[in-house]
Amino acid sequence: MSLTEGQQFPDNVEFTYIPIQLDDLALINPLKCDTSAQLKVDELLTKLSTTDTPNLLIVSVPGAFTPTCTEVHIPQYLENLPKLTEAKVGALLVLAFNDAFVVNAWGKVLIKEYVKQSDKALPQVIFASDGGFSGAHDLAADRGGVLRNKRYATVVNAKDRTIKYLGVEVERGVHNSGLDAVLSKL
Amino acid sequence: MSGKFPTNINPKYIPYTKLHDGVLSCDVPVELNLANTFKGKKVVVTAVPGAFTPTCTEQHIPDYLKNLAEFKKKGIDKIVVLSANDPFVMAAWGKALGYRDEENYIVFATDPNATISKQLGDNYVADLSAVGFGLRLQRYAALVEDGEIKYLGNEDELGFTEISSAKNLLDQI
Repeated sequence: MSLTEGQQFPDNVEFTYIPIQLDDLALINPLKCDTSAQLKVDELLTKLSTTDTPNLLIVSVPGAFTPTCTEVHIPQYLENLPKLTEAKVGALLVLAFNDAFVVNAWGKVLIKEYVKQSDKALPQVIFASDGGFSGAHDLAADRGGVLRNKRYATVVNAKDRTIKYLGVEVERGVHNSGLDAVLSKL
Repeated sequence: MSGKFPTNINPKYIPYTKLHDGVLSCDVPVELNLANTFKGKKVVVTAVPGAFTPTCTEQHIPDYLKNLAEFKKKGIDKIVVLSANDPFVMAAWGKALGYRDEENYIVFATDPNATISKQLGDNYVADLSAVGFGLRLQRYAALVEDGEIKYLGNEDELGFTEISSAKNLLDQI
């Protein structure tokens, strides 16, 4: 079943990821392989629902280290984390088709390159492996024999679990799933 | 095992160039013509289950990178690292591991859906679908001379032992 604006975000969604700490960017090492963990979205939403930044922003890309995702799509989010906080986004969850190790290495390199250390509160940033979530919700497409995530962004209000925005790209490039499109809806 | 190393599928890779030195800088994938690469040459092919995974990143490929001069001294013309990851991931991984030379003596290439390694036998692929990795390559190393497999060794448990170590390969040459 697809995700729909105004509807509830599904229950029991989990992703595999490796946590990245934003506290000290200098300590982030892309070649250090840490242990993967399970991200339970229900728990994340419960946590966010008690804060004054209750929006969960999910941004999905077809592949880590691929040109559009790496050079255009995700950097604009990472460079503007304070703007996301202003828009009441408490967590940014980046999903890619690849396994948790690849997504984690990619996330670390991107964060080191584009996130500026700040004294202000920034959203929690999570890079996770899609693990079939997008495919199960009609948000994946066949790319050379494998099902890869479509490029999309969605915002979930943790207070009532409704999907406030869903922007899926139908052509190459970043339009409906980009920072400006998301911010204009928040 | 003897016989010819499969050349019916050309793995894609992104040659290293100074213009795209950054790990986040993407270039266009090209095909590595295996038949031409093997013709009259000595080539080492080594396969890994996954780019950026612990054993491959911390042990296996660093071991080869440390021994590049030894491989050259022994007359190896090229080293091909294969994985089922896509060419963008492979290129980023090669750069992250520190190989940044336009000679492209070692190339990080994609075995698409493990279709090359599968031809070597069932023991050369590993179905890791249960942990969300899909079909991957078993860790193995091969010495190919003029297209003929002179040595081929695979690991049992996706681990890294002397079987696929640089030293063992160098001893086989």
